This record gives sequence, C-alpha cells and structure tokens, in this order.
Amino acid sequence: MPNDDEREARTATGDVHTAGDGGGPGSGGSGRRPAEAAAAPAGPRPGHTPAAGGATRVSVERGGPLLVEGPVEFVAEDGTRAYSDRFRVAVCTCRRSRTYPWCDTSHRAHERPARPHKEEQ
Amino acid sequence: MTTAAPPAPALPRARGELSACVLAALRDPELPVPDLREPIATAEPYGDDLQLALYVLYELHYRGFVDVPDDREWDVTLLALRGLMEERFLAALRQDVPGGRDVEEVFGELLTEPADTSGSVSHHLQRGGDLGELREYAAVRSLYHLKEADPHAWVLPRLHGRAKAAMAAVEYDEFGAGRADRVHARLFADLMADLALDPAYGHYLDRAPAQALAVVNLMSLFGLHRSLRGALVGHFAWVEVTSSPGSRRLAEAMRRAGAGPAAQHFYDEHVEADAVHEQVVRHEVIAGLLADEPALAPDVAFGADATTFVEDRLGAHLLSAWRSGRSALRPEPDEGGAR
Ligand SMILES: [Fe+2]
Ligand SMILES: [Fe+2]
Repeated sequence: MPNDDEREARTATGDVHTAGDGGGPGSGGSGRRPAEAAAAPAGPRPGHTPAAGGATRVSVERGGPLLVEGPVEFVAEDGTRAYSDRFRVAVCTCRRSRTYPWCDTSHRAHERPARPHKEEQ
Repeated sequence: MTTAAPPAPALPRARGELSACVLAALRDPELPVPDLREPIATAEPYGDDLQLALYVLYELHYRGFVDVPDDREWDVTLLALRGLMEERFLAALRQDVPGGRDVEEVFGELLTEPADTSGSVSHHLQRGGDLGELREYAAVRSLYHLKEADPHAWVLPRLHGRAKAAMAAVEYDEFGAGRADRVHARLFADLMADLALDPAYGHYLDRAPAQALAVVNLMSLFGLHRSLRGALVGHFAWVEVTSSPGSRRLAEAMRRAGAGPAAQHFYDEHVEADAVHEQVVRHEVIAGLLADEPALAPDVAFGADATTFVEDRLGAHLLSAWRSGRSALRPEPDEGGAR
C-alpha cells in the first residue's frame, strides 16, 4: 500500500466539476463564477498541492474511489447535483455506496482473501 | 468572537495505590512522592490503577484539571513517574501484539470486512443496540471523541513534506475545516446532548472502564513521543481505515433507536469524511513517512496492531457486560464517597 503507484489524471473539465459554483452547503468557494475561477485559481488550500498549470489533481486506487481535490460539484446523468467542500472528495466508482456519489468504503472486499492485500498488485 | 476557555474537569477518584499517589501529588505539590518503581513494575499493565494514573498524567498535556496549576505538566517528578508507567504499558503491548508483520499485511486485513462480526461492537449496536447501550457507548467513547484528533496533532512537527502536508489536511478536516461548529469534538458533544448525556469534557472519566482508558492512553503515548511517531501514524491510519464502515452501522443504530439528528450526524459525517481520510492517510501520510524513513515500517505496523489489541479488549468488555445484562460503566460515585 505505501508504494504510491496511484494513477493520476489532471482534468480541466469532465463529469467532476471542481469549481465552487454549486448550490451546496454555503461555505468556502461558493458564489465564485466559473470564469473567474479559471482566471484566478483558488489560493492554496490545506492538502492542495498545486498541480501543473493549476490543474486539479485526481488520483485513484484500484477498486476504490476517485480522489479529487475539493470543493467538488458532482453532476449525475439525470442532472442532479451533489456538492462537497471537503479538501479532498472521494467519488464512488463501484456504485455500491449508500451515500452515492460519495464513497462510503462499500467497495471493500468482504471476505478474507488468500492474499489480503488486493487493491494494488 | 472570543469564548472563555471551558472549565477543566475535576480530578477523578483513585483506583489503587498508583493513581492515589498521583492524585495526592497533584492536590499537594509539597507532598513527597514515594518511590513507586516496585509497585509499577508489578502493576497490571492494562488494569484500572495504572491506566488511570497514566490517564491523569497525560491529561496534564491536554486540558489539565481544576485546581491543578498548569505548570505541573512539566513537573519532573511526575514526568519520571509517567515514564515508568509508560515503560510498563509499552512493554506489555510489545509482548502482546504480534511483531514482524509488514504494513501491507496489517492494512490488507483492516481493509477487508471480516466474515465473523460477533466481536464487533458496531455490528452489535446496529443489529439491536437499545438506547441504553448507545448511551453507554457514547459515554465511554467521549474520553476520546471530546479530544478527537488532539493527540494526533503532536505528530505534525515530526513529519515532513508529503506526510506532513497530508496529515495537516486531515487534521484540518477533523478540526472543522476552519469552522468551530464543525469541529469533530464539538459534533460529538452535540451527539451527547442528543443522547441526554453530559457533554462536559472529562465528565465520564470516573465511569470509564480500564479498557477505555487504555484506548486513549495508547494515542497519548504515541503522540507524546517522537520516538513513536511511526506507531502514531499506524494508529491514526487504523482509526481512519476502520471508521467509515463502523460509523455507517452506528449511524443506523442511532436512527433506529430514535436518537436525535446530532447523534446521527456525527456518524454520518464520519462515513463520508473517513472514506476520504483513510485514502489520504494510507497513500500520503504512511507512504510519505516511509519514503522518508523506511526503517519506521515495523513501528507503523505495531501502531495499528496495538490499536487492534486495545480496541478488541474494550469491545470484549462492552459486549460481555451488555450480553449479561450489566452496565459496561463503572458504578456512579456514591454520595458519601470522598473525592
Ligand atoms: Fe473525526
Ligand atoms: Fe477522520
């Protein structure tokens, strides 16, 4: 696990929006227009290591959630929006989360496998 | 807005020779402290007396006690006493916790939901815990949750680069991400009020069994010693990795038992927060620390396994009490009892 071979992607757009323009619980970053946000990237937040060109860092653990630098507005297929202003946001990829779109660790294996450590090779 | 510092708790009642000596020394700085090497060497390392004595000495580094001067925190006589008790506690843990395991093995197990849940308190409470058990659970856990994330902040100066940045980020979230009403310790106080418990810091110390004291003493021990920074990180990762699924069960238990919205919210928040925290702690704090200091890997594994050990002892105590219809708390102080 401490070998840090997470796959990382830097995204400007996509289904995971990271500007704080959503109507979530009002706190940090909300009310900022997306255009302004692009022109003036948010200042450093705790846990936010500025990536190249101010891009948002997204990392993933095999079988686990997408870890995205927050705040995050998540737009589902039907247009419903969810908002989180946490410093990092874990977006469920297994679709088993009871708090979808956020990870609740439901992706975890439920039996003791022969080789316990299975989320990385 | 400024708020006055909350009142420090009262000193607890003694549970034996060691705790009586510590409490007497705190009440009267002039009192000569007897040589306690022999009684410490023979004390039950996880027993009420040693664990309470240690708990009280550690508390001087958090909020202290009413009528005990703040500078007793650095009283060399008390520190020497604490050192002897820590040695006893740590030696017992080193003996009782499996050694030689690697970090991947330890966390691989913790990341797998076990098939046998008969020893799990959160499963028990989810399946049918009544309000009385939930209240006892919260009272016992209040010793930690009212100082949630405090002992872990001590590790920050001992970490560097990636590990430090990630640890600070998780701690920032624990401390409410800049908002006092979101501090996790505050959310727990709100939960206690919902359960008609007294949310005053330290209120349930006298009622807490030795097993609950050991859980908090373990993190104070790891947090206060730079030499145990690897163990502190392993311990913290244990807490974050196990929290999310356990919190989901406890949130359900609170909902089912009709506990109020704050009681549910504390655990709902931990489902979501700790699903993030566990990723950050494993991939950045542990990985960052071990990249800097690979020799600390056995300590990281030890910190996590020692946490399993003390948590299992607490879980066994709670479940055996409840399954035989007893309270898991120590009895109320009787009215006439000397404090
Ligand atoms: Fe927390
Ligand atoms: Fe956490």
